[in-house]
Amino acid sequence: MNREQSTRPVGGAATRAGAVCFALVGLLALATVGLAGFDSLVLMLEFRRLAEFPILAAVPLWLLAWQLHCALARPGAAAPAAGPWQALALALLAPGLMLLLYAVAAEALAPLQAPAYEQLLRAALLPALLAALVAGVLGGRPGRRAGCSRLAVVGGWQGTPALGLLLLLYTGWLPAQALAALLVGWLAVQAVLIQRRLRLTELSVLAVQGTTAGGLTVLLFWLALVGSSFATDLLPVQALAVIAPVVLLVVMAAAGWWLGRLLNNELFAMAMLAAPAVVMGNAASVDPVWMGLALSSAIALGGWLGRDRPSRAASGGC
Amino acid sequence: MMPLRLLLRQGFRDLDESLALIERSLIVVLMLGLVMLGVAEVAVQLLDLRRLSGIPDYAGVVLLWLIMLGAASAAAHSAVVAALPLLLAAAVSALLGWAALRLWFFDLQLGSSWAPGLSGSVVLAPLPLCFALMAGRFLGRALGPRQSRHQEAPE
Repeated sequence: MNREQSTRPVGGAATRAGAVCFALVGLLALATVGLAGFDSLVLMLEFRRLAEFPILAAVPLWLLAWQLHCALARPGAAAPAAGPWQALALALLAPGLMLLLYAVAAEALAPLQAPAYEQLLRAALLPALLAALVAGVLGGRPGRRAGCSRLAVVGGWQGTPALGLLLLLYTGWLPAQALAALLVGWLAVQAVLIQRRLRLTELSVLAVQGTTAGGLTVLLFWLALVGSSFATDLLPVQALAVIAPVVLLVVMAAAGWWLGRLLNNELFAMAMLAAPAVVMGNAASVDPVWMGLALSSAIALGGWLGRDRPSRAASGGC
Repeated sequence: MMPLRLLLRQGFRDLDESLALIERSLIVVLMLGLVMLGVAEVAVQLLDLRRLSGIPDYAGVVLLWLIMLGAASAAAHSAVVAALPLLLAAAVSALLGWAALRLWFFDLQLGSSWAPGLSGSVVLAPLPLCFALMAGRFLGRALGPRQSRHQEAPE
């Protein structure tokens, strides 16, 4: 196994911007709870609800799966370049972690209108395939570093069982975290026992890296979610009902594009934006599926534009 | 003779390294547990073992612990040049940790049960600890020497 790949930080940009984002989101969450007239204990009571969504376990597990795939696929090879359409297709296809965060936010904040995760994935399939088609037509144009892990989503997963598990996500037959666990198990067995590319110590390093990136992302996501739920009592969110849904859709997409570009990490941007998007979309009667797809696409394209910046290059995009 | 400031710094560094070792070991064990719970969930679905339907409860608990440990680990590797955001992050962590501690005491008095064999106080115990760890790490990075703030993720 390539040593550099095995020890490369997961979500490097996320851990770099982590302190700033954590400070801002945490402060906002504390402030909204305080201004709404509740004790900070209530914030923690809401925080423990995180355990009611075990599907979020798919985030660190998928990140570990990507790391394992990076270790198995083309050791030593540089990350191939990707164009904007390819980046878009990658963002929408399985495992679609951005869509997963959005689905959880919708289920927690607006359970009646919330689309299921697999419903979002299926809705994203056509635009993703179109984007992939355009990417094929425009192939050969100069691209930007996409990172081996993200490109691996579209092609070259290690063997048919892994690809089959990815496709099962679209059926909703098994929860995403169970499928992710199976995939991690399969890739770990292949990496350690069958192909012998990884030692157990290296596997544990990858597990820590996946958890570090995933833990921070989910913590921020949940703080933003709790803050947004309390902010609905403070802000005149219902006034958004007078805004045409398409206008809010465009505004949120622009915000996603900007934050994706600024943070240079798509998953991190979605963690911060998913909950406010659900609250505002619900008030303005925007179709949650459209909101999820628009937000994911905009963040993916914004992230693609910011990919040449040094922080992302250092993290290898994984 | 080594100045007190340097001695303290060395002591805190040693303590942080020991805590990081425990933290990484726990992460690996919990990640393994999460994989096993996921596989068990598939088995339950395939074999229709309804009496084992409490698996998501345990998965939720493992997730909560893993998220907190992951966030604490990320706090150790945050690299920001300016001290102000780090101090702010430390203050937020401390406030959240205080709230988590109060919740833990509240749960201890209430004696609530989370899942079979797991009381609420056991489940919530890592929350104040991890937030305190995050606060300490953010503070250490804000007040510590500049070059140490640029460390990458664990190798």
